[in-house]
Formats: sequence, structure tokens, C-alpha cells
Amino acid sequence: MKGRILIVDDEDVVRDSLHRMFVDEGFGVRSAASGREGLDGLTPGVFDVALIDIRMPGMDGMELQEHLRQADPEMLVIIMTGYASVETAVQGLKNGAWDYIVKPVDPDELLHLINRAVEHRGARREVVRLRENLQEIFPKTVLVGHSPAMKRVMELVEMVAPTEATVLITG
Amino acid sequence: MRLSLAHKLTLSLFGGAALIFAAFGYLDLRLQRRHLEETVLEAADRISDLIQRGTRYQMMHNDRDAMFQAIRDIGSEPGIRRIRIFNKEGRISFSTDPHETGTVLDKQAEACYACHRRGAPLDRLERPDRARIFEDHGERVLAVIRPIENRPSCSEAECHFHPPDQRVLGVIDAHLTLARVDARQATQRAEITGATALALSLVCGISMLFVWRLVYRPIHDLHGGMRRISRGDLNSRVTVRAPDELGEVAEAFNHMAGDLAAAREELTAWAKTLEQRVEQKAVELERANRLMATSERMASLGRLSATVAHEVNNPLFGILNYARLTRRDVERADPPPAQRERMLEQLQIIERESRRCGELMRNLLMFARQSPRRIEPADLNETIGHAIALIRHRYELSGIVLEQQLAADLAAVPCDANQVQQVVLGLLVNAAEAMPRGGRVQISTSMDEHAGFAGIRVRDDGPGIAGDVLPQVFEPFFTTKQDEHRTGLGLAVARSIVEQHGGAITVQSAAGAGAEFAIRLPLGVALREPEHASTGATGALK
Repeated sequence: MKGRILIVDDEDVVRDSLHRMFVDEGFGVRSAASGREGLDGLTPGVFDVALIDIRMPGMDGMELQEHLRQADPEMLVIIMTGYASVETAVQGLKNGAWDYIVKPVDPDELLHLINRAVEHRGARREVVRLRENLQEIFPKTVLVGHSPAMKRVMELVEMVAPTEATVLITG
Repeated sequence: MRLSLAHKLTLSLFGGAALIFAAFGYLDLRLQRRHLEETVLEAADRISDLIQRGTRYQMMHNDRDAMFQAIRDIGSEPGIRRIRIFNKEGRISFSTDPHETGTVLDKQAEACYACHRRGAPLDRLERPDRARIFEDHGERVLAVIRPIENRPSCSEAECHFHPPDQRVLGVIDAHLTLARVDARQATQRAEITGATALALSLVCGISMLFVWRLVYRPIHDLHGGMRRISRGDLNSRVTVRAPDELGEVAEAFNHMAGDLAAAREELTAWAKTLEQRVEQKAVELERANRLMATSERMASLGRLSATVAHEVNNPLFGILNYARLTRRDVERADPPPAQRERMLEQLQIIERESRRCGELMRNLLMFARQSPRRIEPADLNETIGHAIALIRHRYELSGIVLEQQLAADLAAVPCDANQVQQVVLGLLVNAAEAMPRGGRVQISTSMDEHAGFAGIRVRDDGPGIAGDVLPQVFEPFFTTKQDEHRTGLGLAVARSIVEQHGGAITVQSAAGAGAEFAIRLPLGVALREPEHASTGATGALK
């Protein structure tokens, strides 16, 4: 599976066509007709990308975006607008959206954007994972001491650290 | 008649001077006359004295002829009218007038009056009391009496004519004419009158000159100045002639006129500035108004574009996606039947969505295009009846009760009946859609002949329209309905139709309190050229 996508749009034709297209391309897809439905039972870390419409009855895209950020901060949000409105796009990006598209966008371009987003999400997940591994291998130790002599010792440790040599510190 | 100050002053001066001069003249004449009369009186007294002394000798010798001759001689002197002698009883013993001799005088009259009336002894009388003036033959005559006193020489005379105990022997009565005195006095009166008149004219002339110079001229100047100023000539000034009170008044007046002119100039300048500023503001306002109208149009156009874009872009987006999916399906060789099924479905969706786009565009074009109208006098009740006939079945199915309150006296309204029917039908459909579980709809017509309008009202008791969206209900593409096939053009088209008829459509509603749409159509033909016209398409009202 390439990645998991959450689609929220009140327009049946948009939601259904995107659902089919992303499934066809090998993504895991869940689609919802409203913000409430989209948020319902959302587990953090499940979806890589959320593709949400701005203009929806009830909870609009902006509000949904805020809820999604709280529910899953790592998920990337791409907003869709039915008409090019710089203000809403800028507002969306300010609120932390990863990108925005104006309907109708070329399906290939959209797939490219989603692929990039999933890769980006994957890379970030990888970084987190590696950082966690590193933490497991080298649990954080803290040297206490702020005196000039102790600082000199720290410098020496740093200089010697990359080498194979064994160092004995006395004092 | 209104007298000017100068005239009054002149007249007063003239009157005063005339009075004084007349009084002095009169006094003068009186004094002169008295002096003259006294002179005459003195002369008369002296004549009497002369007679008494001059005839003494003859008297003593009882020589009457000689005595009478002597008196006659004196009496012939000019100015002496007559001389007579009478005794105590009034008997005239002698007179220069021979007719009188021997006659008796009335004691109560003339000469006797002085003594006999007053009862005073004659010899004690003062001269003025002995004299009298009377008129005789048109002449004034002064007469003076003189008593002839008894003396020892008289009574002791040889003739023994007079007894010694008789005190007064007789009276000499001398009459002197005052003709000359009167003539002189007449002359003097004439002279004095002339002199007085001359002096009076001189005084008057000089007074008039002064009044003219000191009063009339400055006041006339001031008066003229005031009249000029009251006529509006604020630049007019008064000549300051003398450094007196009137001069000060003239100066103050000039000062005031100057201030007035300055004030008026300032006011005029203010008015002009104000006018200019008002004009400027009006121009600015007009410009702002135009800008606002333009921006309103642009905003409206922007909203319209945004809505159209949204309405069109969604199906287009779907079409694109489905088309790509289908293409991908086709690219895969030999699709299994299930996939063929999916391809067919996708193509159907593409077809449907394309049609949706087309429908939307058609509605939009119809909204924007001016459609031809047929304006004819129509019975609104009948038009409404047609609309009701179309919706009756639907109302019955939905359980909606339709109440009609159609005015019986409704005049024919010039309109396009089809379009009005479309509007009414649209409102009835909206009312039905607002109450899917049934309810009550009222439709009524009314007339306001005074205002020249016919009215149609459609009222439902559905959920109503919330206050925040109420102002937008007539805007194109505004809809609260969730059905994706709604264009939100219905009420916009309705308003467009009503406004093209010169009427107005309004809505009154509140959430939970139903909605009432009111249409007013003018009774007179007041069609205006529409900015955007609508269509007769029934489907537009959704």
C-alpha cells in the first residue's frame, strides 16, 4: 500500500471519483461526506494525507483542518477549493495546511502531489523512527559540571570520541 | 405733512423772532404814542395856563369882549380845535365855537367826568386826570380842563361878580387835535413795521443759513447715506463736515458702514467658500457613489463568479477523475466484465455531470439574458388560479392546506401573465419544500389604488428563514437546500421578473415563524428596461 488518504467532500461526484482513483492507484482510502463523518473514529497515525474541501455545509474545511491538526498533528492536510480564492488558501496554509489545490486539478498532478505528500510523511516518520532507535542505542547521559576543568574534559572527550582509542579520565 | 428737522428749526426760529420783534415794536409804538400825547397834553395845559394868565387882566376889569377876543386869538392857533369856559353848573359861558355858547354840559359826560364821577375836587386833580382823549369828526382830540380858582383879587374886584366863598369860578376846557400826533405815529408804525420786517428777514435769513450749514446739510448727508446703505450700497460714505456731534455721528456712521461692508464681504466669501465646498463634496460623493456602485457590481459579479466556479468546477473535477479512471481501465487489455460494468457506470456519471454543467450554464444564460415579454392587462386572481392548478396535486400529496384570500375588486394589472405565474408557482413550490411534512400556505391578493399597486402575498408556516441569511435569499446562487441539483437562482429570477414589471418583492421571516413573500405590481404601466432579465423556464425556481 502506497499510503492512506482521508477524503472529505460533500460533493458526491468529487468524493466518489477521488475515492475510486486513489484506490485504483493503490492507496488506502477512506472518504467522508462531512467534517463530522471524517473526524468520527479517527485514530492518530492512520492516515498520511487528508484531502479536504473548503466549502462544505455544517463544519467547513477551515474548522475541520483545525480539528484534524489536534487529532493527528503528523497528518498532512491538503485543502481543495472550488474557486481560486487567495485569501482562503493563504489562511489554510497559515493554519498549517501542507498545500492546496483548485478544483478541477489535473488528476495526474493531484496524484503526483499526493505521492510527494506520502513520501514526505514517510520520510518524517523515518526520521522519527531513527531518532527513537538512536535513543534506544544511546540513552541520554548527562555529565554534571560547569567548572573550566570539567569543560576542558568535555572538549577532550568530544575530540577523542570518534577514535578507537580508550581513554581513562582520572582526577 | 412731515416737516424736516431743518424746517422745524427754521420755523421755530422765525416764529420766535417774529414774536419778539412784534412785541418790541408794539411796546415802542405805545411808548412813542404816550410821549407824543404827553407832549400834546403839556402843550394843552400850557395853553390853558396862558389863557388864564393872559385873560386875568380882562377878567379883573370884567372886560368880557377883550377876554373873549384874546381867547379867540389863542384858539385860532393851529392844532387847537377849540377853547371853552364853563361854570360849575356846566353852562358854557364862552367857546371858540359860537354855537356852543350858552349850552349846558352833561355833568356825567366828557369834561365833567373827571371830578364829578370821582367826587374829587377839581383843583386837586393831577394833570393826567384832567386830560381826556376822545374822537370827534374822525379825529382824535385831547382835551384838558383847568379850574379857574377864586382869589381874593377876584372877589374883591369892583364888579363883585364872584362871591368870596366860591372856590372855583369856572373851568377852562382846551381841545387840541391829535391829528398830527396820529399821523406821525402812523408813519412811525410803518417805519417800525418795515424795520422789524427787515430785521426779521435778516435774522431769519442768517438763521436759515446757519441751520442749512450746521444742521440741514450734515443731516441730509447722513440721511442720504443711510438710504444708500439700506438699499445695499455698503461702499457709500458720508462727508464729515465739522468736528461737532453731527460730525461724530457721520464718522461713526462711516465706521459702521465700513464694518458692515467688511462683514458682508466676509459673509459673501464664506457663502462662496461654502458653496464651493458643498459642490466639491457633492462631486466627491457622486464619485464615491459611482465607485461604490461599481464595487458593488464587481462584488456581486465576484460572488456570482465564485459561485458559478464552485458549481461548475465540482462536476468538472469529477468528470476529469472519472475520465482518467476510465482511460486507465481501457488501457488495461481485455477488461473483465466487472471492470466493463465499472467503466460504463463511470461514463454515465461523466454524462450526467456534463449535463449538470450544461443545465447550470443554460440557467445562468437565461438569468442573464433579456427575454421578450408580452405585457397585457391580466387578472392576477386568474393567473394565481393557474399556478395553483399546477401545484394542487403536489400540495395534496404533501398534506398542505392552501388558503386563498383573493380580493374581489382587483383591477387588471398590466403584466406578462406567464412570468407572474412562474413567480407565484415558484413561491408556492418553495413553500411546499419548506414544509415536507405538510402545513398551511396562505395566498392573498390586494389592491392599493391610492399607491397604484396590486399586491400578492404567499405565506407559509414552515421553519422560516434565519435572520442572518434573510438578506441573501434574493441573491443568485443562494440556496439552503442540500439537493445538489438546485441552482439557487429561483428567488433571484423571481425578483428580476417583478422588478422588470416596476414592482418589488420583499420577504418577512424569522427562524421558526414561517415566511411571507410580498409582491407589489404597479397598476399603471411602469416597465423599466431590465439590467438583467430572466427566463420563462419553470425549472429555474428551485
